[in-house]
Amino acid sequence: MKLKEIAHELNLRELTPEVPGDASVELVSGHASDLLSEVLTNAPSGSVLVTTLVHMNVIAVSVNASVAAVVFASGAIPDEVVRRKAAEEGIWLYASEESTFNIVGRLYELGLRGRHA
Amino acid sequence: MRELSLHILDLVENSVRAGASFVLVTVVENPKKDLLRIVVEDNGSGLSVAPVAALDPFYTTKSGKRTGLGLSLFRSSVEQAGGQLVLRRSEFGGLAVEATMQLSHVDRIPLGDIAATVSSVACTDQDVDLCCLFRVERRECIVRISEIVKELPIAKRGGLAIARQVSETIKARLGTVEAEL
Repeated sequence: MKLKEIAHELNLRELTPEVPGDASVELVSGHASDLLSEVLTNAPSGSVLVTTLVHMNVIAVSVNASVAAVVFASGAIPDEVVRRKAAEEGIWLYASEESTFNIVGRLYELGLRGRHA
Repeated sequence: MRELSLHILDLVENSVRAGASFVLVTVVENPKKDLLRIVVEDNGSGLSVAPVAALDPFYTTKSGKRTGLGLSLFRSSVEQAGGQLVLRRSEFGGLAVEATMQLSHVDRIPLGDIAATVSSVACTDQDVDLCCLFRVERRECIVRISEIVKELPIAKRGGLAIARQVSETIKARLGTVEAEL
């Protein structure tokens, strides 16, 4: 499913409109974690990451793990420096008031899958 | 990282890359003040940039890498336990990384297997003399790799034998000190 369709379905707030392209990238996988070393190891390349962390480390880890987009759950919002760095790196950021659990549930319903053991 | 000892291992590896021949790891638990303090310091080349730059997850000294996450992830772990991380010059001439956090904080990750951490350094970085000081209230234990190596017969001073000896010595000396961390 296309990222922009996912954003629409989940009513996500787009934080990085300046990222080139119109978020028409196809997403098939996702990952949810608030432990970034675990994200580094387990997040599938090209996936969407759901987290409540808003530190610059989230962006660095996303670059390292080739995460395509990040959804900040539970109303978490990164500051402007973090947001701008993500845009510079071409990573789409979205925000939601929903919990990680509910967001992941919806993503699963839409056909996205996590890494298999 | 799920354990503080893995962060300590990462910092010691930084010290090794900074050309250190001596590294001191200090772990102090203070239940009365509800504090856990971890200091990793060395006699290496120290920082070539300002501390704030070294803590940037997009700063690295490794060529071919775009991110340097070791210090940044350690800072996150410390801050999520209500603490703070300070980088300063060590009295040994190199860098001191000092973390202080709330011992009882619900988000503080456990210290983990410090014996395994120290013995892996003993095994892989034999040119570095690692010294560890653990203190819980008034009880204290010090383990120094060079002293443990000296106790071994010369023929047995290989990497694995040293690592095993270091691990056993730490476990024996830590005893109840480790059990509380």
